[in-house]
Amino acid sequence: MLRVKDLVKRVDNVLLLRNINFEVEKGEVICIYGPNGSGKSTLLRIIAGLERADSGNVFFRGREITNISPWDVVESGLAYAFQIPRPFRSMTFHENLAVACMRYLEVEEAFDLAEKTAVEFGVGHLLKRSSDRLSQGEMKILEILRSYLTGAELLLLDEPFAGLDVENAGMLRERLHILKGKGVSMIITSHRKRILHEIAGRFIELKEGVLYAEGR
Amino acid sequence: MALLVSLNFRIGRFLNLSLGGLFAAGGYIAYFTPSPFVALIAGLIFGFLMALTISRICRSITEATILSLGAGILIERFLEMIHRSSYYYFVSFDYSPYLVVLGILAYLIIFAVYTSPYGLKMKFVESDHELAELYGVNTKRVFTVTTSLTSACAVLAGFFSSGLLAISPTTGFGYLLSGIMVSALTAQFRQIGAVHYLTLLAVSFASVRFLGVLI
Amino acid sequence: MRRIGRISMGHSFLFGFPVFAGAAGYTFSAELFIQLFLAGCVLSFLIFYLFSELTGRTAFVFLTLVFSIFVWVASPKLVFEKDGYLTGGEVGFSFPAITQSRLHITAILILVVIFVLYRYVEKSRIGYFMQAIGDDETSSRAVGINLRKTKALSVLLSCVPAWSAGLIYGFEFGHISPEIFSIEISVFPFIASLVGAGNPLLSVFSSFALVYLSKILNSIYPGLMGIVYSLILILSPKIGRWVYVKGKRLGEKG
Repeated sequence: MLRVKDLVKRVDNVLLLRNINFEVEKGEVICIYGPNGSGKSTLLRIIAGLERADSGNVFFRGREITNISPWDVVESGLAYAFQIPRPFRSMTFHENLAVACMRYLEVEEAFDLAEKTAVEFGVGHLLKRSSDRLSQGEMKILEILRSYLTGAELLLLDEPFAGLDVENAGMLRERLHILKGKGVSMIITSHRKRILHEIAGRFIELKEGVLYAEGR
Repeated sequence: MALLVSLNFRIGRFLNLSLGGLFAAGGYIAYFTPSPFVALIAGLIFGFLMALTISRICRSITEATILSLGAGILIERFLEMIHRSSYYYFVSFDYSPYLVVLGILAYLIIFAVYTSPYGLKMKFVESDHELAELYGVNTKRVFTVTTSLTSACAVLAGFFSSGLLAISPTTGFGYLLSGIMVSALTAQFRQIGAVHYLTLLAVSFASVRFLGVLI
Repeated sequence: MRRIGRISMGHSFLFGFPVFAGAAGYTFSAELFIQLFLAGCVLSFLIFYLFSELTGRTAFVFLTLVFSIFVWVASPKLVFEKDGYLTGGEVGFSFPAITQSRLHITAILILVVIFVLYRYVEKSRIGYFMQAIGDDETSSRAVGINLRKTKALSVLLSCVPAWSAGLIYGFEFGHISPEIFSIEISVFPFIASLVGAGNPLLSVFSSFALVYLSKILNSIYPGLMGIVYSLILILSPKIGRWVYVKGKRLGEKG
C-alpha cells in the first residue's frame, strides 16, 4: 500500500533521515519508535507532503507521491495528525470534523457524517463544544478523527500519546482500536514502544535518522 | 529614515508609520519656529506619548503598527488643518548640513551603545523580547526610549531638510516609504547588532545611488 | 480576506487601480478605457494574491499598506501629452459620464448582489475552507484543503466589491486623481469593518454612516473627518476588542 524507498532528508548539511526503506500493507498498523530527535516526525511530515525530501521516493497504492502538495497527498488517501493538536479555533468540534469531509461531500452530508462518526467514536457529547474549550485528550481525539474523516485509508499519527495522562491515553487507545477494527492502516510514532503493544502489528526503530530494526 | 524605521522595528517590534508625519511636522516647525530645540522637544513628547499608548493598549505588532499609522495620519491632518492658504511652504534658510551631523551623531550613538556592556542587552531585545526580560532587561523602558528618540530624530530630520523641500503635510510619506524599503532590503542579510546598522548605511547609500529618483 | 486570516490595509489599490488605469486609457479612447480597466482588475488581483501567498498575517498588513502608499506617491508621476495638452499628474484624468439616477440604482443592485453572494459563500464549502485557513493554514493543508485555490477565490471575492466601488466612484465624480490611492481610502474598509464589528451587513451600514458623518464634519471644518479616522485607528486595538466581543454576542443572540 505504502512504500518508502531510500528516503533522505538533510537540514543545514545534517542528515536527519538516511536511506529509509519500509512498506506498509493494507489494514496494517505499524509503530515507528525511537528517542526524541531520531527523525520520526520528519519522516511522517515528508510522507504527508508537509516537508520536502532531498532524495528517495514515496509510493502510495503504486503512485509516486514524493514532494507533492499536502492537499494532493490527502486526495490520494493519506492523512496526517499533528503531535500537538491544531484544531480550527473559531469552529466547534462538529464543524472541525465536517470541514475534513467537505472535500468530497456536500456541506449538509459532511455535517451528517461528522455527527455519525463522533457518536460512533463515543464523543457525540462534544459536537456543540467550541474547539478551544476541549481538554488535551479530547483535542487529540478530534485531531485523529478529523484526519480519518478526510477519507484516508492510511493515517499518519505523530506521537498521539505525547503529553497525555493515563486516563486520556486509555481513552485514545480505545478509539485507535475502533479505527483498527474498521481496517484503517496506521503509522504511529512514539518514543516508547510499550504504549502501542496492543495496537501495532509491527515495530520499526528509528535512531539518529537510521532505520535500525524491524520486527513484530 | 531607514535607520529610524529599522530601530523601531527591531527594538520596538512595530513598523512606525508615524515617522512620515513627524518628518513633515519638522518642516512645519522650521517654517513657523526656526528652533531645532522645539523640534527636538516636540518629537520626544510625541514619541513618549505614542510609546506609552502602545504599551498600554496594544497586544501585537499589527495593532502597534496600525496605531502608529493613526498617529501619522493625525499629524498629517493636523498640519493640513492649521494652514490651508497654500499647499506648499518654503523656508529661506538651509539647515541641511546639520542633517549630516544628525546622521553621524545617530550612528555614533548606536555604535557606542552596541559596543558598550549595554549592547548585549540590546542584542537580546532584538532577538527575543521574552528572553531579554528573563535576563533582566527592562524591555518597556528600552521600547519607550527608542520610540521617543527615533520620533525626535524624525522631526529633527524634517527640520534640517526643510530648506531643500516643498513642505506639505504629505512630504514625509515618500521618505518613509524609501526608509521601509531600504530597511526591508537590509533585513534580508539577517544580521544583528552594530553590523546590521553598518549594512543599513551601505544599502542606504547604494539605494540613493541607484534608485535616486525614488529615494 | 479577513476570513483567510489576512487584513488588507491597502484596499485603495484594489479600489483605485483599475479605474485609474481605465481613466488614463480614456484620455485616448473609450475602448482603451475598457481594456485598461479590465487589465487593472486582473493585475490588482494577481498582486494581492501573490502577496497573500508570499507573506504571513502580519507581513501582509505591512506589505499591502506600504504598497498602497507607494502607488499613492508614484501615481502623480504618470503624465501624458494629448493634443498638445498635458493630462494626469497631481490633477488626474477625466472619467466617462453616466446618468446619475441610473448610477445610483446600479450601485444599490451591485450592493445587494454582493451581499447575497457573501451570505451564500459564508455557509458554503468554500466559506468553511476560508474560515479554516484563517484559523490555521498548516492544519488546513493537512485536511486536504487546497490553499492556493481557496486563497485565490478569497482574494477575488474581496476584489469584486472593491472594483465595483471604484467604478461607481469614478462615474459619480467623473474624475479620478491620485488621491484615490490615499491612506484615508486605504484604511476606510478597515475602519468600516471595525465600526461594523466585523459583520458584513453592519460594515455596509457603517460605511454609509461614516460617509455621511464625513460630509457633516468636513462641512463644519475641512479635514475634521481625517482627525476622527486617525483617532479611530489610534484606539483601534481597544475599540476592536470591545466591538468584536459585542458583535459576537449580538451574533449569538441572533
